[in-house]
Formats: sequence, structure tokens, C-alpha cells
Amino acid sequence: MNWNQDFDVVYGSSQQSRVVLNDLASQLRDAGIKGTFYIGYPVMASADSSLTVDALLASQTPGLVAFHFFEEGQNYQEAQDRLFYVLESNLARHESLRTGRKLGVVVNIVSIFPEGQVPEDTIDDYLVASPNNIQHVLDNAVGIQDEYLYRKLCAAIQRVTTIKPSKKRQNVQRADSKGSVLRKIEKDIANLDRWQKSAAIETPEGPQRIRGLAGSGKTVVLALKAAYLHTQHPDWNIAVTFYTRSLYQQFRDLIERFTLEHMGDMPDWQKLHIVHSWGSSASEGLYSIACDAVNISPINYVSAKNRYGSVRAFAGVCDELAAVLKGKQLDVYDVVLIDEAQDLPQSFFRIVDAIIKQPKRIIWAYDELQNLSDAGMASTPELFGRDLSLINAPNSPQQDIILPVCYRNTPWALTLAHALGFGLFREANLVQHFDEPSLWMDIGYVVESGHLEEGQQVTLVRAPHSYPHFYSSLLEPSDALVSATFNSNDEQYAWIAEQVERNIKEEELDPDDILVILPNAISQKDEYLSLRRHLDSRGLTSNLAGVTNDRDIFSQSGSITVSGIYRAKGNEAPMVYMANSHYCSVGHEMIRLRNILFTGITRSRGWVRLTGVGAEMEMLQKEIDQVVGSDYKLKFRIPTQPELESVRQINRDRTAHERSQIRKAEKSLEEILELMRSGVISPDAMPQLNAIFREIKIRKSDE
Amino acid sequence: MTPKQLIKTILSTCQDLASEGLVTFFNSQIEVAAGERTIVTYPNRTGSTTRVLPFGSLEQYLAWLRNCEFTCLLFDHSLIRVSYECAGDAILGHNLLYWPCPVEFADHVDDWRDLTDAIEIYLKSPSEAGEIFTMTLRSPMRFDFDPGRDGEDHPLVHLHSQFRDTRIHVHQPMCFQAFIKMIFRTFYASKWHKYAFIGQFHEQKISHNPGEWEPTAHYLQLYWT
Repeated sequence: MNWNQDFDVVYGSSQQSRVVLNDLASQLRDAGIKGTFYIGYPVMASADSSLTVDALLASQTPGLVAFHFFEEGQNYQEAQDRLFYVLESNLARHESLRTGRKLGVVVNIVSIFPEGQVPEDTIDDYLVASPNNIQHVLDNAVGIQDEYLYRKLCAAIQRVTTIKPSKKRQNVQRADSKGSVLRKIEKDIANLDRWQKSAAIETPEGPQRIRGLAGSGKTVVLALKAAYLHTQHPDWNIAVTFYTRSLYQQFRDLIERFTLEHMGDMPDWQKLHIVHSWGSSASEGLYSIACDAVNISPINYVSAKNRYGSVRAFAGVCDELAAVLKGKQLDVYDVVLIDEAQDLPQSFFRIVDAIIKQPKRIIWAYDELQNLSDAGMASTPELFGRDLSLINAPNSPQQDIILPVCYRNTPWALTLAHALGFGLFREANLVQHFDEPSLWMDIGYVVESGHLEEGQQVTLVRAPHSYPHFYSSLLEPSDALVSATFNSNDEQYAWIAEQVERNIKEEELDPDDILVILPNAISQKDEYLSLRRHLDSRGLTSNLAGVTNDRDIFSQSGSITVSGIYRAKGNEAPMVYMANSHYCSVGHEMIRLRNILFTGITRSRGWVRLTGVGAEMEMLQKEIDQVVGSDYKLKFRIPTQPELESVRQINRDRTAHERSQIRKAEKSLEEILELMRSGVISPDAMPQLNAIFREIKIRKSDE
Repeated sequence: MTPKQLIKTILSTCQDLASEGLVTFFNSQIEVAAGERTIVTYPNRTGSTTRVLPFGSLEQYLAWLRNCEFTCLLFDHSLIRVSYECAGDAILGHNLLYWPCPVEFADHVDDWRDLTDAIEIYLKSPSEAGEIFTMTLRSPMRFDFDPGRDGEDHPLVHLHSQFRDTRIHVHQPMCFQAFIKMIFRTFYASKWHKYAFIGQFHEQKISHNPGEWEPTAHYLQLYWT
């Protein structure tokens, strides 16, 4: 990443006039300064007090500059001293910013006076300016020569180094091991990028949508945002909610670290609520909180499952509550931040809409491709059931933000995940596609050839800016992504156990760096027992996440994590084994199956191993080979809208009744085949069979 | 039987039962050093925190189920936890628990996570759980073989049931297979007859008083004194 490339403005909340601040930002931009200009960012605090700096510039030239806006009757030198002390003492806590006993970065403070009121008799260290001569004053500021020091300063200001501490990895001895590569990767991911900065700090007076690929930092951004809003507005009631239970601990840790560093104190958990979207009998959720607000009893999961079935259980109870809340305005929260919004029912948003105060600061982050059902993400008006548009006005906090850089996945894994997720190279029709082809650009692809239009051939590749540079220098595609087909499950699990042992003993990964995903939720316990037999025989300790350990915990030190796909969502690991991939190769509900595959692959922070069994895996292997063989370029024809409607219909999730019909039909076909083989029936005597063949033929020719 | 052989035997017995759907989940037993002896036991993930819960309480059943602290879980969510104390190839003590599922569901429940959810609901609000299940109040049974504390009020082999301090004298200690046979023959007669392989599990003698051992009859025998 080129740290000197742009001038970014991050719009936090400040007491100062937005016009004045925008004008200052324009002047700095016009002066050709490269860096980040924070408006109202609570960058620093002393041990016992917190402070919001109205405007702070982090750049190599003119350096680190805090702006102080003079107020009538104020002693500007005292104000500068206080700002200086708070900034310097805070930065000095970062070892990487110290040079010997001193802070390696000079803290420049500039007081801005109204035109005509700038004091003339100033002391050298105190920089003063009027709105019209800021450029001139900045010539006297002390810049940062050392780029490494500048990067460390950015990380310190953004707090990401301490918010996401990397493992120490003291067992790593060899420079070429996977453990060593991982250490380098973890060290490099420290700073927020420009999109993340905006998403974390900017909060409009109204709803905000944050879209991003898996691994683009949505959860970290939401946690930072919650902590930022909490420190800025300690009296606000803020809720952070999500779909995957195991995210609770992640959110709590992130918010706690940030608040502790910023305020020098723990968050006030009475005001900042981290709650599951539904909750359980033991802990409240946003749904149950909303029920309490209207004095109705929340429906528990077991009852809901009985009433609506497991897939629609939450949607069912949310629909009921949303109907009760319709037209009501309950001021329970000032802000609600929603992660994994793609997994939550539409009526959940209407519930949130009913319990949030004006101006309805609802912030939701989602990745449509991580949805494990076939339901696409609804539009904003559909979500809230009212006319609502998201506007990105200039010089204002953005309402619709896209995080285009994927930090978690290698470009190769992500390209493969998209190819398999959409079924671009299936022998049959593709499985799904965006309504709007230009979304490929939003998620970090560029057109190498062809046209990104309906009905047109196109070749897409990952844009160079869409992934961190270190993947290309530290990893080889052939090792980052390996697939293997086996004759039996036992053979597959034996191979996985052997590889896992090698990962730990020879390649210096820790057991908790390894995640094995089992895609079939129904059989996962049985599959785990079969896999564990092989892991046990090699002395490898494992956990089936949420089953053999606490359900709010995903991975544990010293243990390999095995997980079903639903529990794996929202989590990640450096080495991911997507076992039984053949489960997602063919079937009746292809959108759901391919989304499982997409979600599984995108859990990986480094290496992916796709394994599976039999002819179905061989079919999937062909798709994988096409992607690898084309050097990770996606060459395909964009479907037209009618084609898209057709594949959606074919690949949609089936109702319980349809599933039962399918099971019956499959059983009948098996019986027919058996009877034919045993000579009981002759195909000639069954005209229905010929009708089936004719129908298949017609469909093939249509395709 | 050495600890490693014992672990292997328990595992293969569980696998056999799981292959017929009689066991829905099982853990690998682990070895824990205790001085010169070795304890073969289920994974104890929460340390001693759940031991302080009242014997036979719903809270205790829930905690063990939630933390997956058991040897195996039967098809009806009844729980089996076994520990053996070993020295070399001799078994010096045991602690064998069979806890029949204390609740009965209106509908079949596949996932024991649904079961723990339901019990949590019951503990918080019994009336709310009424539509989901009924309490059956079946007591756990724990068969202890404890030679070190043998005495008038503490028979060498005894059964704890209903109360923590009740020790019903039991004829002899049991190896894992004998324990499983006893459970199926006594409490699941139809399964016992349907799955003949259970009756064929090979039993190991546990010598608790050399010369007095007799083949077990696979049903609960109580000798009152």
C-alpha cells in the first residue's frame, strides 16, 4: 500500500462548524498534502481524561498537526500545551514511536484564529494562523522523514495494532515455514485503509450501510465505530448485534480494548450493549429487548422451531413482533449497529426501526455472498418498509460505504470462491449472479477483456489494489490452494489428519490456526467422530465448535477447530480444510450449497484445502481446474435478466413439502433402477421413462 | 488392561453403539496422571466448577451436557460418564454414571443443543417450558468401586442413587462393556433384544477380591446387608 498516495478526510463528530472544517480540509488538499485529516477523531487520551481533537492531520509532510480553534477569552497557549501534552504522552506509550528516550515524532499544534485576530507577538513553538494563511504556517511544522515511523504513527492513531494483536508465535524457528509466513502477514495488517477509516468514524444523521467482502474488516469497523460513538456520546444507548453467537466475544474484546485505550476505562456496559440478534433464555437479545419494550413474552428458539421450522424460526418470530410494533415509536436506542445483516430477516430491521430514536442511526454491515440461504439482501426501502434512500453527499459522512479490499483471503482463494459460489464453470448452468453486473467492480475485480454487460462475454481478474501486496510475495498460489479427491470418507479424513499433523509439526502452525469445516449441518457430528478417530490416532486434540466446547467460543488454544458451516461463519483461521466439498457440488438447492462453499473458502487467512469424495468431487474438481488453469481469471458470459430469473427458480431453496417430494422421487427412481437391473421391469414397458429422457434432452438443448 | 487399552475399548464400544444410532455422540477418553496411578476419564473442560452442583440436580445434568463432559450420550439424551483408576494393567477403582434423560419431550429432539436450550428455559421459567417437555425426575445412578474407602457405611462397590450419601451395595465392579450391557438389559429391553451385538461385547474381569469373582448376569444386582 502506498501510504503517500491520497489525502483522505474522515468525518467524525466535532463541536466546530462543519463549514470551517471542510474549508480547512480543502486548503490542505489544495496544498498537495498527502495523508489523513481526521475531523473530531478521539485520537488520544491521557490516563485519566479523554479528549476529542477537532481536527488532526497525520502526514509525512508537514507531519503530525493538531488544529486548535481559538475561542473568545481563551488562553491559546494553555490550550496548545494541553493538547500537546495529551498527544505526546499518549503517543509515547507506543514503543515503536520512540527514538531513545524521546518521542520520534514531533507533535505540531496550530491555533486558528478568526481573520484579523491572529496575535502578532508569538513564541516560536506556538504556531498560529488565520483561516487564510494556514499553508504558510505549516511550513514551520516538523515533518516525519522516516516512512516506517510514519506508518507506525498511523497505526497508533488508528489503534488497530493494539485492537487486533497478532500472536507472538514463539515456536517459529524456520524462516520458510507457514508459521513464519503467518507472522509476517499478521505484522503487516496493522492500519485501517481509507474506506475502513471512513466506515469506522463517519456516522451520518440517519441510516448507514457498509458493504464488504468477507475479510474486508466489517466486524472490526463496527466494533471501532461502537467504541468511538460510546466515547463520543457516553450517554447514548448503543446496541451492537449480530447473527453468529460466537461473534459476541470478538466484539466484546475489540470494543473493550479500544475503549480502554481511548478512555483509560472500561466501556459502560449499561450503555453499550453487545447482544445477539435473538438471544437465549440465559442471555437477552435485541429481539427479546424489543419484546420487553412492548411487554410481550419473547418466543424461545425451541417453540419457534416447532412453529416455523428451523430455517424460518427467527423470521417467524420477528414477523410476529414486527406486526405488533408496526406504527409504534419506542425510544430504546440511540444507535444500533448490525453485523451479518445478510443473515437476518427483513422484519428484524423493522423491529430495530421501531425501537430506535430519531434520526434513526441504524448501521448495518453485510456481505450478500455469505448468506447461507438463497434470499438476496433486500433493498433499503424493502428492509424498513418505507421510502428511505442512502445518500453519499460531498463533504459529509457517507451513508453507503463499500469496503473493497479483502485482507483475509488470498486473491486466488477469493477468485476460486467466487467462481464456485456462482457456479461460473459448471457443466450445467451457472448457479447465481448479481442483478447488476457492475457489482463485480465494487468487489474488487477489473475487466481484462470483453464487456461487463448482460449477455456479453467478459474476463475478470482481481484488481491489484483489492488485496494486500504481501500475498504475492509470501505465498505461492499452488500452495495457497490445494484440492484433492478421495475414494472414501475414511481415506479423506486420514489425509486431512496427516496434513494437519504436518502443518503443526513441520510447518510451525499452531493447532488453533487450523480449521476443518464440515458443510453438512445434519451429519456434522457423525462426520466429526469419523475425522476425530484419525486425529486422535496422531495425538491431535480437536474440538467441534459449539458442541464439545462452550457455544460462545469458537477456537481454543492447543486444539484444532472442527466446525459446521453455520458456526464457522464470522470466524476465520489461517489454514482451512473444507472437507466433504462434494456435498456442495450438485443438488437441488444449488444457491444454498454454493454459498456454503463460498463461505467455507473465505474463512481462510492463508491456505485452503478443498477435499471431497467420489464422482461429485470430481465434477467440482473440474471447476477448480478451470479456475487454476486460466491463471485465476474468470472468463464467462454474463447472464441476461430472464436467464437470471430462470437459474434462481431452478436453484432456489425448496420448501419442506418440495423436499419431501424430491426425496420420494429419488427413492422411486432408485427402485426403478434396481428393478430394471434385476430384470423385473423392462424399460420398453414403461413409456414414462422415455418421456423423462425426452424432457431431459429438450432441457439440455435449451441450455 | 492398561489405560491405553481401556481407552481403545471404550472408544470402540462407543463406535459400535454409534453405528446403530444408540449413541449420538461420544468423547475420546483421556489419561490423567494421579501420582503413580492413571485415571482414564472423560474430558473435564470446566474443572471442578460443575462438581459443586447438587448431585442429581437438573443444573448438573445441564452443565455436563452443555460442556460436553461425558463419555457418551445415548439416543434418548441419557448420559454416560465413566472414569477408571488404573495402575499398570490393573483397575483399582471406577466411577460409572448412567443418568437417564430427566425430561421427556413432546416432539422428538435431534440436537442436544435444543435440549439444553429447553432446560435453560425451564430453569428460568418452568411454566414456559410446559409446552416443550415434561419432567420425569429420573435419578442418576453412579456405580463406584472404591477399595481405598471400604467400610461398613461405604461398601467396596456401591450404587449412588437419589441421594449423594446413599450407597447401595453392589455385587462386583464392572468393566465398561459390562456396564453398557447392564444399562441396555435393565433399562432398554427392546433395544437389548433388537441389537444382539450388545450382548456379545467381550467382558474383562476386574479383580476386586481374587478368587471371588463370578460372571455377571448383566442386570442390576443388589445385595442387602
